[in-house]
Amino acid sequence: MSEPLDVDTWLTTHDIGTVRIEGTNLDSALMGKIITAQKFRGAVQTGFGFADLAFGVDLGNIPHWGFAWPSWRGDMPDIFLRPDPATLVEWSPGHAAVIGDYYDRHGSPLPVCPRNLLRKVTNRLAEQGFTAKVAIEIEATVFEESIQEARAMGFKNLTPLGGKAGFAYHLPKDQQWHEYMTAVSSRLDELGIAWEAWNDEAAWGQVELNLAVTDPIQACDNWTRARQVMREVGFQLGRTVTFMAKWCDEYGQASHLNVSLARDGENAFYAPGGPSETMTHFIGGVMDSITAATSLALPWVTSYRRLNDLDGPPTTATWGISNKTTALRAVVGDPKQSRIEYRVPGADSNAYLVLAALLAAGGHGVGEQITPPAAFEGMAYCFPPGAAQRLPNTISKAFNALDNATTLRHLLGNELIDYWVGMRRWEWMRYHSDGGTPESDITDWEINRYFELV
Amino acid sequence: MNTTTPDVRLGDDPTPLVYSIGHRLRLSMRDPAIAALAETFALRDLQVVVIADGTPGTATISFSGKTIAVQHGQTSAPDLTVHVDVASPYTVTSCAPEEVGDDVAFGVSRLLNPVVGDWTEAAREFWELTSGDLGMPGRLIAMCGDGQKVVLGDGPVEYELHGSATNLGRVFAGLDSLFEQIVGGALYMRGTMPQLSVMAGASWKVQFHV
Repeated sequence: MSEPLDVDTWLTTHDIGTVRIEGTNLDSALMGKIITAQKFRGAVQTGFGFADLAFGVDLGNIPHWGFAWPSWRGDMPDIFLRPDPATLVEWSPGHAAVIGDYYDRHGSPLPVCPRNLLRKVTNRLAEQGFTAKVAIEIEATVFEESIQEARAMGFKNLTPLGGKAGFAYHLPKDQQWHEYMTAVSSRLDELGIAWEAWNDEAAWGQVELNLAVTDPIQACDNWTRARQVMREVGFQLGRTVTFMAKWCDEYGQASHLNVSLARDGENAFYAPGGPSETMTHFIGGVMDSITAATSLALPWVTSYRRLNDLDGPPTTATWGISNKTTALRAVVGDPKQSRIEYRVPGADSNAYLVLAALLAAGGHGVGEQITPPAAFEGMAYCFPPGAAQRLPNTISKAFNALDNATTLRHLLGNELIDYWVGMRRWEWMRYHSDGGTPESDITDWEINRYFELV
Repeated sequence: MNTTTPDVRLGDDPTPLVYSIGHRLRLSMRDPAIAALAETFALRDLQVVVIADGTPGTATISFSGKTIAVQHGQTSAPDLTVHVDVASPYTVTSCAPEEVGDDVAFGVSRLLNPVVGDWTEAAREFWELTSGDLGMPGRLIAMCGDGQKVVLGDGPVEYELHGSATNLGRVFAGLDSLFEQIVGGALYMRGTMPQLSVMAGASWKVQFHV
């Protein structure tokens, strides 16, 4: 285990004048402040005050109403972002960035803080004797226009970088496309964020970035920083990037989570010839909660627009071996590669939160030795009604399923689930008041609300 | 004579508008005269499209036998299309085609706008449905401008609502949104932001209750 960082020395050594303290809220927005190094030194142990609205305002800048607020919310009291010094990085000369966790005014972890929640779940796994290994895939769409131009155009009729021709893995893209992703990967290298690959993805202007496998907290810290890098590089190069699940009728954007468990340094998901017992029970736990977890993996109205048979994303509550049409793909037979890939999450989801749900459900399955349903054979699309349970395909079906989920409530806490369901119900009402109908094509309301912020 | 009132049923995954219409119809069925009106519509297998002006929402009400079905969206060949103002009150502002007759449009308007009787009784029903929900205040005190006062519950944490009998009654009956009425100045409150949030949710729960 590495020695705790001497923050004061680190700031001095790196000649840091300002520090960006940051953390994601439930909406996966990176929230924070820029503070002086002096101020940072003075409160790094206790944390920095934020209004509770950091977790209480929708993407239209209106507070969520209509549900019971926990004790940390009220008539706008402070909550506190406590930096994790292990995440300190020199973001640019003289300017550091640090990721933190949110606490209430009494010093207790905020139950809705996604990073806190993931740490709690990871610790629970450790008590079971496991460490998790995680790799996150990031999909995004890049446009030729600058963010200023894109805003002026209302984020419509934008020009996908790399053109509209092509398909996944297409290498003969124009120089500007390569320039953007090369700049992103170089910046990741500067910041020490390990990545493995990037490529053209299926839709116009779409790119995929594969982050390297690491522990859960590090994987999600890398995820949130990589997204910030992709945005910042876009600003610098005069491009625009969106992580919206779908911005046009092209294929949507996902954020697949690849997970395995290790025990005593060995991949506990591996067994010769198939899933190990641990992997089988992990799948059993995940399958038990997969319908309820959909709300967390697909947070927005637009998220559900990805779920079309034959488009790539899963549409059913199924798992299968080497089967990318199912919600949970099991990769088996190799000590290094054996893992599960959760294919439901949208690019617009919060990786800390979804990963916490996935690991909690899987760990529960291992602990309770839950047997999964039979692996799905064949293509999990286009079959007759009743052949397999379909995933919730609207925000309302999904939050109702989560609201009624006893296991996930037990694993993630009632406070988080109640708060999340309240936020999603508010989002559903806002859409139906001002946005569109269940049959509407992607609406201006969605574009204006999600394009820049999710 | 068959005395059972028509059953109100909602389609799969209802929208807020569908829930709201369903709730209004269910309330209307408490009045035998209005229930009889629905039965006359059922004899004609009447289909009515409701367009909520100012929102994207539309719904279709189908009267048939002993069932009133409410679905999201517009049926292709309705007998009547009505536009409603979803802001209070839920008034039918126009309808088409005209040859269906004003009586039908008037009947639909009556169905969608149940009359609230005693506001204190509506308050008791509101409390019965919502008082057990997470975060609800232990005691709800509703004070009418005419001096009438209702105290519901005996918990230590109070929440006060002030307004006219009409406005209180409409909110408690689920015809208006408590949140909109407070923001719009039609009702007043004494309480906290968290209480406003949970009371707003309670109000929507009643509005969507079928």
